[in-house]
Amino acid sequence: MPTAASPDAVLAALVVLPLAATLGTLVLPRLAPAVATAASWANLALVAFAFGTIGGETWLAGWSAPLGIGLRLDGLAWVFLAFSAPVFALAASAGRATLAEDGAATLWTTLIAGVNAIFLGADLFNLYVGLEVVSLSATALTAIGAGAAAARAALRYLFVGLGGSLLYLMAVASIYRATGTLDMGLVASIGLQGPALAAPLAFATAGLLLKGGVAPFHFWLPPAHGNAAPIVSAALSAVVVKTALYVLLRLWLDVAPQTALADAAPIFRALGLLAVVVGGVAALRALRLKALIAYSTVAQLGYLALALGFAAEAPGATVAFAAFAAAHALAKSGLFVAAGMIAKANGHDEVPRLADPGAAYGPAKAAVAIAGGALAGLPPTGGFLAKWTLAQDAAAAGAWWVAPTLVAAGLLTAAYMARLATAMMRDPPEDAPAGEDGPLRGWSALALASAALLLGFLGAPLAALLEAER
Amino acid sequence: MSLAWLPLAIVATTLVSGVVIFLTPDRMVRTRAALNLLGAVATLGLVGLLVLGVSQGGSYSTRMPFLPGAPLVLQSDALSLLFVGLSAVLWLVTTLYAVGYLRHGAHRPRFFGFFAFCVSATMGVALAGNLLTFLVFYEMLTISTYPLVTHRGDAASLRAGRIYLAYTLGGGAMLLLGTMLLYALHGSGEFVVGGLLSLAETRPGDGALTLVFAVLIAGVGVKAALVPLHGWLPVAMVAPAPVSALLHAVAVVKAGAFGIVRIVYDIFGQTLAETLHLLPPLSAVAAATILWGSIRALGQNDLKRRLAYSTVSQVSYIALGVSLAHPVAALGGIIHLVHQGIMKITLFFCAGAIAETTGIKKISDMDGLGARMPWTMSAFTVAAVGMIGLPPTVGFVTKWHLSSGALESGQAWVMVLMLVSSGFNAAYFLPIIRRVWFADPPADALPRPKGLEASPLLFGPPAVTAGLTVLAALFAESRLSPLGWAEALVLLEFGFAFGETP
Repeated sequence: MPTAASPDAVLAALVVLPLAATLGTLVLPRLAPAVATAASWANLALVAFAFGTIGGETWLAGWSAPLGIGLRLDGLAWVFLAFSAPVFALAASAGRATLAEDGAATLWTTLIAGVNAIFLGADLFNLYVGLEVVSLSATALTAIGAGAAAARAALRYLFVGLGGSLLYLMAVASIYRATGTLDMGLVASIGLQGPALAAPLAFATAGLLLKGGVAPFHFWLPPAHGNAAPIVSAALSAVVVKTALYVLLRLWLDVAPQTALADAAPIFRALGLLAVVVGGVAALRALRLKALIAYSTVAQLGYLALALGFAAEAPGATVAFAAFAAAHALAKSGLFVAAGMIAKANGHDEVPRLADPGAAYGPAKAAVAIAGGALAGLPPTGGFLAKWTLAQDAAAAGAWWVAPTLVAAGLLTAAYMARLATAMMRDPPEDAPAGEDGPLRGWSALALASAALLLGFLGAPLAALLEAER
Repeated sequence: MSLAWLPLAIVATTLVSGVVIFLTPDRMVRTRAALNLLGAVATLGLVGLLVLGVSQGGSYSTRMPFLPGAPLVLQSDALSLLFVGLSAVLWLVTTLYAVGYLRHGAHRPRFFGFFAFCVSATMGVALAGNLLTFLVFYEMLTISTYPLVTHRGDAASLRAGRIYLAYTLGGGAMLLLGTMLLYALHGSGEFVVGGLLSLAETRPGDGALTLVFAVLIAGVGVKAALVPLHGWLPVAMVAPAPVSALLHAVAVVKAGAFGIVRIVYDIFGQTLAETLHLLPPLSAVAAATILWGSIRALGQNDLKRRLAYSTVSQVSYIALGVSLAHPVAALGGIIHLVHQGIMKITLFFCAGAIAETTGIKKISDMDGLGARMPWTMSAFTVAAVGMIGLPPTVGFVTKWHLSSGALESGQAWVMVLMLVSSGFNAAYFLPIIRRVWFADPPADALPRPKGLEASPLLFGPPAVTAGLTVLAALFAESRLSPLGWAEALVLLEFGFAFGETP
């Protein structure tokens, strides 16, 4: 290739750069937070640059299918990279203190490498490796700098991660035995049928739903997300759970035949509705701010399952899936960072007692407002785009119940977000600690939330990028 | 010169004003007030340009890509100009008033910032060219008014804010559902003179359309405070006076009433609405609201609460006029968008000025207040006379058109309703007027101060709007008066000339 920007180089760099940064954090421990932050921003620049190479494939180490490590960048993969990279970059900037904890910077860059590998992965075993890397680094990040509750949550999270991976690995082994290949395209073209198809699909789906925290497999999620440091919670809820659901989508769209997805659709729809209700009600009742936000994640993951339940018959469901994932990632990470600041300023995080942290927290408060709106699906945010797309396409496919359901779910979300709005307007008590915080954190949170807002205007380009998946 | 950007510029100017105000530190009071007034004057100038252009036959429209197949459209037609003009004038007046009212308050950047956002949302509602755009700004209005309602930050305000949010977000959800259904059934939601669905070659089944109509009207009915969706309005009284003035006169209730007009005329259209028998139920709800609001107003001793129930009643004149399916009645309804605005903002300005200057909030404490605050109480009296519907005020113009339209279309019960309603209006306004002018002040009343009765920023704005209540009635026959605009508009909507009015 004559140009410096060959697709091969860009794709490889997306995995190699964060891994190199991991090495850097080990070699230069004193500079580790700076290295991790710089790597997060470089990753963002690389993802933006990679927009020009959508459609590319590469084989690492010179081996091609069925033996090598295949990476491919299609529209869907790029969209997932494109909302994850800003989360890593802005969260890293907002959480320099967290990254300065022992080992955190190393785990952070490892997490980025694993996430990128999953989004780019073209074969089933690589995806397994990616899932394990993400799972282990995320678990370790959860445990950083926290007390006994966080340690217990991290341990449970570890077992869930391992269990989910194991189920997925059984599916991969079974497919390999039946087809002799692990490349997703090749497996699909072989056309498995009967139990040889159903068994691995069932195992992999169960494992991925567990790792993805979709109700009723969500039991581990609120404690894990609710006890970690703010930027870790942000990365976990924005990106880590999405990696499992991304693999699930790939599996059902790219590997399984469409008729199989149509058969399984009622399960995904039912789980999605369950998650929306369970997560929403729990968020409404949550005492602690971070628990509220974590249960909100449970509810929002339900939207992804619901969208997957329509992917077989409604062409826009994939767009809705990606829009839900992106809007939630950007809004939720902004919300976690801002909520961390507001709780710290208040000196506690009990929602009924939270009060206005003061004029110095303007950007953080704006982030809470915008992120809350995006999560509730208010227009013109990305959450609205996702709901609108899913409702219109489901109606076109004859499922008229989806529109009122999404509207009702939006009201439930608005109800628990209103608890935060109330807190922002409450006069602080006389003895409130004088709030001060680096302005950078508030602006980072606001940037993330604003991105969730702007996403609402990008429906047409998003649909064009995902054309191949529709 | 192409002015297609004008509608967008109006929304953007108000929005940018809000952001700039937020970024101005709390202590820079004068700078912020100056920037705020600059924004309001600039907006008024742009609106003037728009009115001038449209009156010369221009039509302006800005389209922005939004959802796939469903753009955001901002456009100017006669109906939007009526509302935009009202908002622009009253924003300027209210800004002056609020600067005086909040001279010593806390959180002023937040207050004036959200105030500007609220006006921006109102401009968007007014200029929306399709139902989706309307929805976007309707929800923005909910969000931007919440911090204004809860501005004081105490327990009572927060409770009121929760109730306010529950009602308005619920209404927004209904509007969203109706919009989703309309787009799914019909593929678009453009506002078309004569009615999108009336003029469509093919349209969905009648049952589905009736359902969509009911859902949409329930959605906008919350903000328009149609009974039984009106419960938030008296509760929201905890807000500072400039907010109440804005909520009741321009922003929130008007957005709801304006939505009813848009949905009936520009989505369904007169023809289809009559075919599907959609209007009689709307008339019934409007009539019930007019009576119920008045009855509840009678029993209130808190001045602002009485004014609030009066709003519930008066805003439904708009829905009533639209639902009577007669051009003259429609004229009465649409013109009341403007008329109720200038009268009600006057009353709330006065209520705030009284409370701020003397601390009086209850009607029973207002004895002899006319001698203490003659300018304020004169303005109050003019607006109250207008509410009762006596000439020479705009209230009379509204009731005259509603009644004669109803008579011409053989719906005499509306005439009776107007008389009964005016009786109620008199019953809850005249005692106040008698008290302030003819009762002796209590022994412990504050003496009249030397010099001015209050800050000129508190009694000047109501004096101006009270003047408008009379002027707009005296010059109603002018083509550029609100009535003149509304006539041109109804002419288009009904497609024929009526009466002997020019």
